[in-house]
Amino acid sequence: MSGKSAVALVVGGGILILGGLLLLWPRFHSATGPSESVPAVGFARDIRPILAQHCYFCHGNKKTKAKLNLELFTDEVSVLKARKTWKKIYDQLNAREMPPEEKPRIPGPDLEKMTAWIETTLDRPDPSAPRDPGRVVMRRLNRVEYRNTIRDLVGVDFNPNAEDFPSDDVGYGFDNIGDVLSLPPLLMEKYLAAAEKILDRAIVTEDRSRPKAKRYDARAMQVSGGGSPDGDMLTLFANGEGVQPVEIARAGKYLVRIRAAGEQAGSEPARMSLKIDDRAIRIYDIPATRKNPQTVEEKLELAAGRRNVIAGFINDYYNPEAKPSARDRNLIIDYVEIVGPVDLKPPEPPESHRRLFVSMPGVSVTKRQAAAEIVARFARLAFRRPISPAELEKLMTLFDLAERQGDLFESAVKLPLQAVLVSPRFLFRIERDGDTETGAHRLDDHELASRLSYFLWSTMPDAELFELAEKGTLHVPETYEAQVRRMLKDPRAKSLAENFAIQWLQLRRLEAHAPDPKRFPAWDEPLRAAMHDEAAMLFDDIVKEDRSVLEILGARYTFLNERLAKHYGIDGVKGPEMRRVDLTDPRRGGILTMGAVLTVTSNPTRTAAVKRGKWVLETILGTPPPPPLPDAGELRDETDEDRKLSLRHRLEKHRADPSCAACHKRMDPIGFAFENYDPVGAWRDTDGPHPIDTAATLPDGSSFRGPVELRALILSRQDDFVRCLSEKMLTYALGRGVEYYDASTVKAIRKAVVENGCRMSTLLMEVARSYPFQYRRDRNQGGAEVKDE
Amino acid sequence: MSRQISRRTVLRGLGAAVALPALEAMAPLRVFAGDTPKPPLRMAFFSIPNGVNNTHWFPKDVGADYVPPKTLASLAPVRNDLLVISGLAHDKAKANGDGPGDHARSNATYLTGCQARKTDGRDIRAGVSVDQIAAEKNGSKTRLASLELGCEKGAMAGNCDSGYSCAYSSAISWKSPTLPMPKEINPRAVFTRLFGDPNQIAEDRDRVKQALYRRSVLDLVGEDARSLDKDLGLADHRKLEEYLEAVRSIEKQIQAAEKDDARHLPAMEAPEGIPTDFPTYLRLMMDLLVVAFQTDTTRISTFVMANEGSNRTFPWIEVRDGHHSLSHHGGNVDKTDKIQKIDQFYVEQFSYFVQKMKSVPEGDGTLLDNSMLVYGGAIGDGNRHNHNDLPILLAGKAQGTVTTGRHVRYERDTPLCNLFLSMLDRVGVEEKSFGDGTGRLNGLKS
Repeated sequence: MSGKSAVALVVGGGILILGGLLLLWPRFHSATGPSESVPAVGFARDIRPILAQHCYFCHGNKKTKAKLNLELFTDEVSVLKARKTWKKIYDQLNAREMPPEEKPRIPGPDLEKMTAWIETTLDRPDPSAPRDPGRVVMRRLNRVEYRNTIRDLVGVDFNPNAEDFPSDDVGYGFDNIGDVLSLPPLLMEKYLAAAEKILDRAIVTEDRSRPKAKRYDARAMQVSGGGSPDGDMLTLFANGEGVQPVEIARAGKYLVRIRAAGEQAGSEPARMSLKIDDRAIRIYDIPATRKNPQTVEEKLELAAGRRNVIAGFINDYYNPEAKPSARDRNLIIDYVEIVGPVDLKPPEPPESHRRLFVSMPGVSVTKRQAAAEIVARFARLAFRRPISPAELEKLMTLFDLAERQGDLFESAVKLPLQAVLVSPRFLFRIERDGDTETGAHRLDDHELASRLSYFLWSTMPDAELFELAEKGTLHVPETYEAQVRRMLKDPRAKSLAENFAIQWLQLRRLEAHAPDPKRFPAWDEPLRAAMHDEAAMLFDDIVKEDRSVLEILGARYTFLNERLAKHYGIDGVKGPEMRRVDLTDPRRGGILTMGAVLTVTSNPTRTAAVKRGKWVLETILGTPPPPPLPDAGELRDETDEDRKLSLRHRLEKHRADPSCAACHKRMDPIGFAFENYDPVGAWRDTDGPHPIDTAATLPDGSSFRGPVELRALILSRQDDFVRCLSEKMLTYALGRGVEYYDASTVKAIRKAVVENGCRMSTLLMEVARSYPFQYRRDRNQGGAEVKDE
Repeated sequence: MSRQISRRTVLRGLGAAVALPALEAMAPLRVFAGDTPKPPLRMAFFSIPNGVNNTHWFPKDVGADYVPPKTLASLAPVRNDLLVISGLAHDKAKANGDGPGDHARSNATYLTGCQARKTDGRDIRAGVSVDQIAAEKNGSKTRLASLELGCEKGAMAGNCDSGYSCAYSSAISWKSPTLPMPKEINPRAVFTRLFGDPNQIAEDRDRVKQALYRRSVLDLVGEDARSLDKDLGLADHRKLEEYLEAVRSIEKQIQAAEKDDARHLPAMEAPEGIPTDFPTYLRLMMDLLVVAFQTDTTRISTFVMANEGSNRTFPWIEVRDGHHSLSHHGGNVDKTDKIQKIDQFYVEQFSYFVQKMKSVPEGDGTLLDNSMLVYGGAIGDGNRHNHNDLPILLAGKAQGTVTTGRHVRYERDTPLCNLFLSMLDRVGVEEKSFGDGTGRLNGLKS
């Protein structure tokens, strides 16, 4: 589906013919792309005259607008030294933003010649230079990766968000970019504390051969009737109760003990009742005295949870006539003690404990040998590569230290493990540097395993990847590709939806988005969650079922629960769980018409056609408009009269300003197509009192109406979409921004994807197989990036 | 009230059902009076986003008899403890050829005085901020060299502002030109950082052991990082430098903590988490900062009320549109009125903080007297996006070196960095230059 043919799409029962709409968006890669040979067009002969005729007037020696003097460029070499500038020139030309409207246009053939030449030239850095895979700066694990890695390594779910790890900074739209992921002292503090907490949770260190006893000081009891602390005990001086809440972790038989005494008077000893919650247990005579209290004990079945142990004083006595020592009878309570459970064996240590303790000291194994085995295994997994005996020995000095401090075996092992969890080898994914003749080297298999697992799973390599890396066979193409296919079937591949797709689509903004509650009372957390999940689940489904990536835009099914379905006006979906729903109404389907997208591209009080248009251009088509002019207002036309106009009319007035028009002519029409969706993505037929008009015309004169036609239009531009998606996926996979030397990689990926029916697995496989993914530039070949500055 | 309670006792008390009112019940911990040494001088920097409605911000008259405009009205109780300063500017917050992205750029300039490099990621660079210059010099005197607070998360998505990385728009404190300091936004985490985890009441013996263990672990991983460093290229080397710097900073904290055993004892309830109500949230964070200063846990702090470019709504004062959207008001009166309301709201919170500082006696005066508290931002008017006529307040007498109670107007375009240089002088950090500063700010003391 490419070329200039008309495109027929069946939409909602009607057939729609679109044609002549294909020059709408600039493309970095045109169908006429670079050939393998040196460009036939030459700068001095072919390009310079065009520049002289159309550009020098403003960008030359006399006038140098935007600090750009094109007369300084004399040949290909000088152009290649200013790549960034020429990329911008390319973008401006392609977007028909230059020359400005009031100046004569560059005739079509000349323009095409020039853009093709720039593209070809920029694409092929230096014909004599070797290919450049780039260098990924060593990447710190971000919060998601840290959590997943700890889960797989230790078997503990530790949530960095709940532990107040600072936000990971975002670059190029993703939070896994090596350059941007910094390690400030605050974060190091969190890592250190986290290592302790994680191992405390994973490893059981207490002596579990005896049941636990827990003692509660009676002075803290809640007293009804009359009572007060007296010395180190509680005295109840009137009939009433002391209540002691206790936490029972597991249901079972417990010993409940109360140590008590009496101030004795009258004919009978002090009497104490015992209740557990509402259950009366027994009444005791307490003849003992304060100097020598007695302990009563019951073996009772206690349910798990919070139980109240209630001690009651039931025979208060007071006789003012009697001699002082026999005048007053009171009940004294010292403590409540709970022992147990006494009927059950101590629980097995948690799975995490067994997983870590692969060896235990015994007859033929010393403590240190066992510890070394545990530490060696753990460090190898955590560092994602083998460790040397010297490294192990260093870690073991910490075990020795803890032993000298008198720690039990399990505790002492924790210390070297803690060090592993804050080591740079764990916190960062480090790749070795090389020094080869070609200037780039292939990653070793351990590095490759890590790249693959963090790309597809956002976590550490599993045992199978480890084994292949150890054998050194992971990079063998058949093995490698089989692994990618295996990994995509694994539930962990779900992380692509959450970490790639949600970020790519800029939907993490949904979390902080706050539509005006007065105008949109329906907006709440469950709706927000459902919207987020809808987008993530569609993407995940496309990965799992290996569908076409075009379904991201055009799927005729989606994922809804009752709440979201109602929001969309779709009947027949009951209950809170999200499930797959086939769509019949063309007004929904694909990412463009999802609540999540429509909401994050709106303002709190109104829709923002500009934001929606910009979102499509930058996220879906990969042709972001240049940023607004510095003095651009939001909407400058706020007289009373203006406010009576519809938003659309106001925007159109705004565009009358020529400095704004160039870009808004591209953004706004796209945004208008979505005006039927309100700021939280619900369908509307009017905007306040104004009827909604979604007909729009793009700069080239082509027109469309509403989201259905727009979707069809975008689908007809699949090359742009696939290229944009490939670039984003490559950025995410590499953890660095895509540079000019990646252009041929992106192109190859796009080509393979399009040729294979746009299947998601092709995209992921091609990224994993790509040169920058498998290679790394040598240390002393820093040139390309430095030169470009 | 000079009784030294062991830290354990206090932390145990935190679980008690009745919590003491936040600050009133707190004993001054290190008593700076009589023959004890002079109390230290603290500095804090508050930032507000999106500029202000300056019609209602700047007083018309200068000197001691100025009439406070509506926005500053809530500062009446501390009027004699603060300076309203006008005429200051941040030249490096201007585009200066870098095009749009003013929020992120000016935020990075606010405390650094430097022109931030325009990048989405690869090569972030601003400058060292004034608080971190002070912390580098004086930080080792307290357990935390500095404390970075804020009431809004770092941005979550995309390039934040027209080609500038989110690091620029969410951090105002920069430890190095390439390392922004993230802010702690959860009051509970702040409390834990200041005073320890209320859920983990360690015996003193355990604490000594924990310090020994932590030190040993850090020794080992530090050595590990240094040995790795030998084999890596430049960019990776920078990352390891960050790592080593972080390790050193924690080592310093452990040392400082060992020196001052029983000192940090706030009678303040450990917060549960982030309050949903924004004013409550701001004030809780401010309470924590007062306690941090009072207990001399740190002397240097930054406080981000909201990230630059914040689009927060303020329904409780009937402002339902986003702050940033409103700030591009185009002269629309309805919008400028709402901006004024927002300005006033933020100033009221600052007033609360200044009053709290003033309520704590210290030495012969109050905690406020031993402080320099800057409040403001690097954008003048959010519609024009100008970077002169910045809204700046300076609270606290700085131990008698600032004559408060006045409105001082400086010559137009006087660098804000001059104020920072003067502040650094006062904490004994005499820098030759800072940012685009041209000298010291005269007339802080009359």
